[in-house]
Amino acid sequence: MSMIRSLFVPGWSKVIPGLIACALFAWIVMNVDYMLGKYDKANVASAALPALEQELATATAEGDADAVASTEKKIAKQRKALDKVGGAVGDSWGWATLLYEKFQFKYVAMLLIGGILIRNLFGVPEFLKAGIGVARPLIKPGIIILGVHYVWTDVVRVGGTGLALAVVFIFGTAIIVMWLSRRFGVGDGLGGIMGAGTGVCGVSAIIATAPVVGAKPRDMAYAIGTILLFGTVMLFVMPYLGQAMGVSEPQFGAWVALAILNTAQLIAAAEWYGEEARNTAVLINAARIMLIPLIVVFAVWFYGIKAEGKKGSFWATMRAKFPVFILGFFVLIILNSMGIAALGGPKVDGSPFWAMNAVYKWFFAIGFAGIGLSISIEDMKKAGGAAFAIGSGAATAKMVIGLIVVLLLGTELLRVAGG
Amino acid sequence: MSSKAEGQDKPAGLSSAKREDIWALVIAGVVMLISMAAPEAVYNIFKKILYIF
Repeated sequence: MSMIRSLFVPGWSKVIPGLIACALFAWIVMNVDYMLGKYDKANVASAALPALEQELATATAEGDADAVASTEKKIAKQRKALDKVGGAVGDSWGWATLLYEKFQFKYVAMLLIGGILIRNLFGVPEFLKAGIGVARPLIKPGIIILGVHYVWTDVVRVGGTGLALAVVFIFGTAIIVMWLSRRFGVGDGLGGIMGAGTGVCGVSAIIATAPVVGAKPRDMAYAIGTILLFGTVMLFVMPYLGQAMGVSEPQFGAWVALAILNTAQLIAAAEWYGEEARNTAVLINAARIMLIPLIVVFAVWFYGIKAEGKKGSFWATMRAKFPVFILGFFVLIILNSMGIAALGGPKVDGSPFWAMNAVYKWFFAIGFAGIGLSISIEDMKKAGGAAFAIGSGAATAKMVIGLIVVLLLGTELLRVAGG
Repeated sequence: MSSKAEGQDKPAGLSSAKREDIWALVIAGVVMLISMAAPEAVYNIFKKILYIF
């Protein structure tokens, strides 16, 4: 009973209005995204159908049965897209393609940009703030459910590569930032949490490391401000950079998982870029966040902090800081890999995993609504000083080196095949 | 991830990050159970009914 009671914070009912507001915002945006996508597909179909019909006529005249069947299938698909908007060949919805394809104005961008605009132009009433804070972690059940997309071979190949990259990048960045912080006279508290924050999982790592390095609340505000500012800028810049440089979706997924320091922000950027990017990013991020306890242990060692003389403090830290939810993600991967008929798969119509595959996006949408609505320009201004310069410099260096590494690794090693 | 300070809101020893993690597992478990009981209904709600435009 006490375990169940501890899951509810005092005054938990206060989160309901904000949670409903985020769900409503997410629902409206998901519908706008669906409508834009529908008109974009119809626009493409309207332009493609005359050529396809010509192709069909040629294939029929040549008596090529295979080509006829395949072209007929393509025509049926394009006609379906046109029928959805009640359009005909020759109609144009260029605005939809411009917004949806060229500007990538998809639900992630709408929720984040819309949320930031609402928060900073109109403000968010006090009674909604608690619920908005609770909406952000709803990305976690979304990540667990996404486990149905993967099989063990993905975990070994992409996750193994991701784990190796994460270890090198996390500890490399953490060591450099902590060492530079000492050299430039930044206090151990601030230097420690900046090292952990820029190396591993942003805000979570800062919160986890703060008590062990004795960081002050002001240090935490600086470090969190720096991480959020960098993550927010990169969240909007990286998808366009990736597109401009022709980075493939799996490579982009690996790149954001290494460069962006906050789980929610990196999943938003990857989801924005495409489904394959998101699949790779989630898997590499899962490998990365499992290293949070190790970075705390590392900070304890680096700053020579006495672990209060407790026996087994290494395992106590590991247990306290381990992100338990990621186990659910791996359980679903195991179940999906076992090919249990009763559970089916994400592509097996009518199966439980097929149904679950329809749900995760809604958790992401509510979480992204929470992120957008909680990004305050005032909080961003808290970033500053030498720690900001070192932290953002290290994060930028990690981003550039990360790009080079994923480009060298190629697309196939980072592609999630799924099952 | 959580932005709440460690130790904040932890009446019975659970940190806010741990509480979020456990809630995430519970929610995902509930989604799985409902999906096992009525997969078609879950699919229709989240892929069709919720889209009204």
